[in-house]
Amino acid sequence: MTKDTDRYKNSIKLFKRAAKVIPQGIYGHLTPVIVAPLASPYYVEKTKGCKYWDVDGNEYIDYMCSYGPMVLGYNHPEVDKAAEEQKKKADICNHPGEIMVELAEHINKLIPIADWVVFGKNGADMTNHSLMIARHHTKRKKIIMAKGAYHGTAPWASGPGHAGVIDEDVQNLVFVTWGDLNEFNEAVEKYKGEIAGTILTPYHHPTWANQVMPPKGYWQGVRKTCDEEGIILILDDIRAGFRLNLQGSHELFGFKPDISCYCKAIANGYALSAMVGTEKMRISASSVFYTGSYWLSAVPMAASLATLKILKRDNVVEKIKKMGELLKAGLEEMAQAHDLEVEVTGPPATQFMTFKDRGDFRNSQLFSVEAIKRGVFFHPHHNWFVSAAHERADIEKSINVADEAFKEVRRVFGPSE
Amino acid sequence: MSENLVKARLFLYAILPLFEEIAKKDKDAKKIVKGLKGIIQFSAPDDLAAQVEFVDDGIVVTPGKEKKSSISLVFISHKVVSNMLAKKGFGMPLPVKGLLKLGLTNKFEKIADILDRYMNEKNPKGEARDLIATLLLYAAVMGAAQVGQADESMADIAKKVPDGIAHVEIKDGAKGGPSVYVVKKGKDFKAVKGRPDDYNVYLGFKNFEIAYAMFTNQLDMMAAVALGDIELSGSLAFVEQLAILMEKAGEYLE
Repeated sequence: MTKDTDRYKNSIKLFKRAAKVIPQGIYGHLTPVIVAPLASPYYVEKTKGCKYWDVDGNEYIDYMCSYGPMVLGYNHPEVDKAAEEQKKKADICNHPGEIMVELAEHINKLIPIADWVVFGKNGADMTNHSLMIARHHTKRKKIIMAKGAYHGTAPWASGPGHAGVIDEDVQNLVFVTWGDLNEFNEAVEKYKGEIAGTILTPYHHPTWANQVMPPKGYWQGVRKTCDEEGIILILDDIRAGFRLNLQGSHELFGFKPDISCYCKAIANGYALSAMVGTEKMRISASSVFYTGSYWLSAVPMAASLATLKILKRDNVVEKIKKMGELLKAGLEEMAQAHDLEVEVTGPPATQFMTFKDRGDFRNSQLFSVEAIKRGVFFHPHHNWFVSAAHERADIEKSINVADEAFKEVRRVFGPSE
Repeated sequence: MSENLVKARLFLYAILPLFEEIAKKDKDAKKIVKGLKGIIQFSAPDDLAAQVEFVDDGIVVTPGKEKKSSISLVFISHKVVSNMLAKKGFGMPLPVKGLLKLGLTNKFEKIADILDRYMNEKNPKGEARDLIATLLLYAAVMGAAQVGQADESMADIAKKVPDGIAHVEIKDGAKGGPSVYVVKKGKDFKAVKGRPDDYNVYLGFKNFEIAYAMFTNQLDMMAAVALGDIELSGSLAFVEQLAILMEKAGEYLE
């Protein structure tokens, strides 16, 4: 396996200190274990636009965008100004600020299905909360979810077998194949009258696998079944939200959920999440007590309001789509030039590239290491994100770097079979 | 019952192979096996079988019934094997063949006692620690394959393991240390001592000290990977599920 301990020496030095006082050193999704141990940066020094610099001074064009939150560019002056103005007044206190009402009104106008909104900090705050609302509303227990889907790391969302998860945490979950309407309907039939809700992503973005777009009629079929059986349709739009369609990713796919959860791109990196719902769900939402110390802090809400306005003003969704399409086309062309077959799946704004043969990500891991070494951060196992700060020149540079990375992959693993 | 079946498989295919290492590395065991010749055939219901061959001043363990045995020991049920592992109830099974070769089983039991001593040793040092790390490596990985193959309670985990080969080893300088790999194909898991020609996931422990710490739950594994004390590459989906199977094997063997 490739190691580059000179290039990342400050990262590694800092990590050695961390490992003595923090379990895992760096835990959760930012662990270097799932990127490239000893061959990728571990710590950031500074950020700007679509780039960041690690603690060794290495510069990167960023295709993770902090795993989604950065959508306009790091340190966006208008977003930061809105946050600073709010900070001068109040952030956290015994009460929320006026900004909470302004943001709630703005979101309710922006997203057609939204008759109400609640706020939190992380996406998982909202997915957890949504399950409680669905269960309270229906007085049922079971939740249908997709195999391989990610909805956070609460015990129910982590799934059976994970450390700290007991049988009781997952006994009311029913797993189905995302995109398979027949399987969904069979599950509903098998547990008729017992399903409180179903939580699904607008398109499938599982861990360690290609992304899958909804088959024709899938969402319309799910909606119909939910209506007939009294099941609450919860959309987890945390990863894709505000990148595919400002009014909600469901608008792109032609259906309406009962509840939709947002986080990541909602405030360009300030810590905020939100859940919107239809009038039907309002009283149940108001009945469930769920909160957190920092949930109603004002500064991230000010940042969010600014972010949402800029997203619309600058037609960011369209720009991200265009830049994403350029990237995808360039990667496919470069791969082909080296007799390598790649699959770039998912929407252009949140695409994910895998190599067609092997299936074990060894070639993806090498590709990422070589690209990261040359200043482009492509994650080997997780979908990528494009932002409004990625300009054509950044995309072109990234494609050129990908060319060199593909050359290395071809050298080590040979052409695709 | 699935648990007894799993324990029977663990005994035959994850514990018995450890006798090879004891015979190679422990000086008392070397004396016991020196010049010894013969084959003990272990069998249990559902075609479970393994041979322990005393040959070339050592022990070779092979699954199945390949060669003609000197003495044949039959477990009448998986529960009997399970009890033996837990040291409950009736001990070694009655021989159905080779009554005159009972001396072989006496030698086998002496090696088993040596193995037992190593597996219960606390704070080992030097060569003892290295041998224990080796035994734990093989028991964990070969045990994981048996759990994946037969444990109904782990069926959902086993299903998530992608087809492919996982190579796990303890690096020991240029000469290479103990090495084992798991082949998963369809519903089947198979563990083999040695190095595969290719692999889909690789887990390499920097040295015996790291491996011992890992297998005795004294190592922050994620930090170790990030620091390079454990080398990890390839299918993280495979290793994620394999780790769960290894942990379950460890629970059975405690």
